[in-house]
Amino acid sequence: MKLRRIVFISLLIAIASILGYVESLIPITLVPGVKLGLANIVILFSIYHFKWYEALIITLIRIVLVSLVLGSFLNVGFFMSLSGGLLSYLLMVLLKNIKNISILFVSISGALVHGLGQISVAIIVMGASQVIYYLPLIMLLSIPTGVIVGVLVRELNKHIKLEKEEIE
Amino acid sequence: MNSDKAKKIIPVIILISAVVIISLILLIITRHKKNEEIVAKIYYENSVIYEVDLSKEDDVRTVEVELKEGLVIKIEVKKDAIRVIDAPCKRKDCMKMSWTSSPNKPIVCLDLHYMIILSGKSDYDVVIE
Ligand SMILES: [Zn+2]
Repeated sequence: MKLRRIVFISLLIAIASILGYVESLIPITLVPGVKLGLANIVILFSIYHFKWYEALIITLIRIVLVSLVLGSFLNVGFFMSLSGGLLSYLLMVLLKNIKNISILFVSISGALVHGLGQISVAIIVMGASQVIYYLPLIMLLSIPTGVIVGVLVRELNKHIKLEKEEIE
Repeated sequence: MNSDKAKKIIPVIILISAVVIISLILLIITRHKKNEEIVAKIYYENSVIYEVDLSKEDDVRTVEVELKEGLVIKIEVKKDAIRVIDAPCKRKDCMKMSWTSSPNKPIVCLDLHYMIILSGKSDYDVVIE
């Protein structure tokens, strides 16, 4: 792996972590513990520009770093982020490779699963089906989030081109 | 070119519509029926610790609820609404949620693992696995 590439990945981890931290400050406390998924900007970007395992590394390190900063490592909030982050990563990687699927579709699906992944952990851990009342709100919120993330990454893709040798 | 664009935008529109429709259906299903008595229940470790009929409340009053020995939260209740005003948790998410008067907005504390859930008196009882 080229040094430039490692530096670039570290930079993306840093940006993703900052986004993850910032969004934990946004009070959408309608739904405590649930994050919008703005860090998906970086994850989606890396899915399009890096190998699948590199994007996965960025996702995982971001989640652990943010939870360490928030002091939520290994508690409910952490597992909610982990579940949401991994599920949306997986779905976005799968969808990205399907022909005729736009980045907007990938992004909205990712945001949706990001919310669903978080809420299912909340349901399992809190042991109550009542958390399901959150579901409609989370689903609706995932549309604007997904659109914002998708449009931003689409614009980024137009302007940022990694040189061939960097992709290798 | 144009049909290519359409091919890409149609799935997006279908996806968004599906999400909106499903959420609205869920909202309608879970919405509290109006003019019914609202009961708030505080859950801790899979059991109801405290229960209050909010429709019978009048002025704001403060209640201390002991979740378990040494673990006390302070709540306020008034007509058809409830909120947490003090809890020994780190994030204080439960307090930040402020007043709730709807089953669609339960109060959940991820630190202390307690929940305050509102329901109509005649609603089905809570199923906890
Ligand atoms: Zn709390």
